[in-house]
Amino acid sequence: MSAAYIINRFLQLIPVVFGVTLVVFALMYLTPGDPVEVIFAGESGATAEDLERYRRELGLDQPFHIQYLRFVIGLLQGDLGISLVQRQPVRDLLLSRLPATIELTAVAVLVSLIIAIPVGVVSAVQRYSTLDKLGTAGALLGVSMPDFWLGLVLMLLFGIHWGVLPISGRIPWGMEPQHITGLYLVDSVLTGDWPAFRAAVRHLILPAVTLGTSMAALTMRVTRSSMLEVVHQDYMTFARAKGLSGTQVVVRHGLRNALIPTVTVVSLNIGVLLGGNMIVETVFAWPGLGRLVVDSIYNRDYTVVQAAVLVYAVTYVTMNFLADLVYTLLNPKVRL
Amino acid sequence: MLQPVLDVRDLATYFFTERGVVRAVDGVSFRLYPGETLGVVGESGCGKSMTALSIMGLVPRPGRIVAGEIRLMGEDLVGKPDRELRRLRGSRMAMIFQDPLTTLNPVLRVGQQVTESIRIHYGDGTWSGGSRRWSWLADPLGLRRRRIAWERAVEMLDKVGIPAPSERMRAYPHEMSGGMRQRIMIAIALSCSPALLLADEPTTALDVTIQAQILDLMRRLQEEMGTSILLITHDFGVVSELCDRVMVMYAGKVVETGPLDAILNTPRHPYTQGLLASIPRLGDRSYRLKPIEGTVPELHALPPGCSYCTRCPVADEYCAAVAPQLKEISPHHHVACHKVAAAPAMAGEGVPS
Ligand SMILES: Nc1ncnc2c1ncn2[C@@H]1O[C@H](COP(=O)(O)OP(=O)(O)OP(=O)(O)O)[C@@H](O)[C@H]1O
Ligand SMILES: [Mg+2]
Repeated sequence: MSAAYIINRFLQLIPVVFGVTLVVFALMYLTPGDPVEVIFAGESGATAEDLERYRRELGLDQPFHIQYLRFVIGLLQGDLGISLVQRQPVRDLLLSRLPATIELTAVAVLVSLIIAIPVGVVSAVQRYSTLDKLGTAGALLGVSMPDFWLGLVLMLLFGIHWGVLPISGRIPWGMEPQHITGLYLVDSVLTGDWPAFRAAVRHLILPAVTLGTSMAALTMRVTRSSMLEVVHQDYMTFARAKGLSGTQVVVRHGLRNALIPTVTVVSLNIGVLLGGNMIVETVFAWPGLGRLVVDSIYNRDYTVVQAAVLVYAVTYVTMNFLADLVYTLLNPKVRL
Repeated sequence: MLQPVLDVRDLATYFFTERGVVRAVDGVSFRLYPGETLGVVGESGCGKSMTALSIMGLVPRPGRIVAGEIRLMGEDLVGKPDRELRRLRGSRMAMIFQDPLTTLNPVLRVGQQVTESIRIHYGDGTWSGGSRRWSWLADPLGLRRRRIAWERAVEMLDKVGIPAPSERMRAYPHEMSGGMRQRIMIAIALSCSPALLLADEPTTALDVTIQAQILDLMRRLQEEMGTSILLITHDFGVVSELCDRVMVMYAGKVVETGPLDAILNTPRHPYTQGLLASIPRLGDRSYRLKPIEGTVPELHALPPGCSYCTRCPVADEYCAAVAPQLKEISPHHHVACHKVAAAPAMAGEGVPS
């Protein structure tokens, strides 16, 4: 893969991101409901002139294209606007929530890969075995269970019935490790704060399992089906004919080929999850991006929603780009 | 008397499918002597590949060897645990396949694929170039093993006629031509100097000029290394180029076997005659292809008698009722046909070269 290819592929992202900003802005512009009324809601004594003046100050009286231009210029300077409700920069709000979402996503993805890849590979290699049947049935169950339902069931069982795991938040109040990266697992390890580490892990288990389950199911199915194709390839028989054992053939010759589709699917999924999972974060009161968006929608905090949607879209596009790069790395045939 | 490299007796490999038992290989016996090439011919589905895979111990499920003996240099392979067969695969016996593009792993570099079998067999006592059992003590990180495997691989690539072998080690299979890839496959198969090479249609996927080069290469390497070859093919042209003896298979059984000359010039089984008659002849413009009428019967519903009786021009009720046994009709020439006396040799019919 040449540098020119990467740069070229990267430059292609620009018009996409630009398009995204336009759509996001237009949606917010066209949404019924007046942000200024939101701001002054509950503040008695604000007159019609007050509202009008405030609108002018925010530039809301300007025509669409001027407003959009200001929005884009702001973006380029890293300015995502001011939260209408919380009255602080949206950027700071998003940044403060990002680590929670990253941590949850990373652990969920890790959990799903640890389960899905071995199960997928073994199911394919031992097709129709009991393990294959269990794995396939499990995957079907996993994709069919809605996240909120699974989350609630886990919560009821582990949190309330057996009372072994915490069911909300990232860590008990006051136990937060010293802030370095904002990722509690990393920070607590760096500072050697083991009680915080333990607490953070315990809080992560239920939401990560909830989030990881559907992804594990999907990953397992992709891995299984691509491995099924791979096990019948001539190069697998040839590798056996060289004297490799069944396991060696699967690991050295099968996995590299079978994981190409898996990696693509997983990278795209990470893109979705990094946007913050609104349902799981809401169910488990997880202070991440997803929760922020849900709250902001309730509060009609338009600027926050706008910025969050933008962040989602950019993350997704970026993960797409990375998935492409990884794909070309794994598959020498498309190396350009 | 010379000990055969390979001695197969009454080999039967069946597939146990939902539609019934498929007798892919049904009582096949043959011997292969050092340095000899035995051609196996027959229509698609007659069990040629399964015979070879049975020898390697690589019959895919739901198939398995149900009876017979396979002696490789005197040692019976049937029923051996996979761990022991693994030591022999790639070192004492090797196999190459039809399509080098799908047989080489697309995501691994050529070098990795060529060194692999050498590294596996280095030090397991099967490869003459490798040292013995405790060699890893002197080479705990396997560096020496790696270096030796690399050098041997480069040597092999050179031997099979790959230009600039050290550089080609770093290439991927798709960066090479079909002929080059087939040479790589041959290099891999012969890297541990096996006594037996099973070649399953090694030239079918290649175009004619490349075919000739690959056949030349195989002949040269065979002379150099003394390998015995079981050559599976559809192509009597290939057979006449390379083989000392020929075995004709039909529906899982051997119907005729004998020296190359006898099979090509005086074939006695009606099936062999039919096969030879269906070969287009170079330079004969008026030639019309005479395919054998009918199709191979379903292998799970074979007639009780001769499998070929449904298509045979000279078959009668007796053929349909009683299966013929192989019998020697002239020195080393065996035919399984009740009508052998009634099936005259096709005099003067040679094979195009
Ligand atoms: N997986 C399988 N399940 C059931 N039957 C099978 C299976 N694989 C092979 N067979 C049977 O084994 C028979 C012999 O197959 P084999 O591959 O040895 O044929 P072949 O002579 O090599 O043909 P070709 O010239 O097409 O390669 C086939 O007719 C087929 O019916
Ligand atoms: Mg075949």
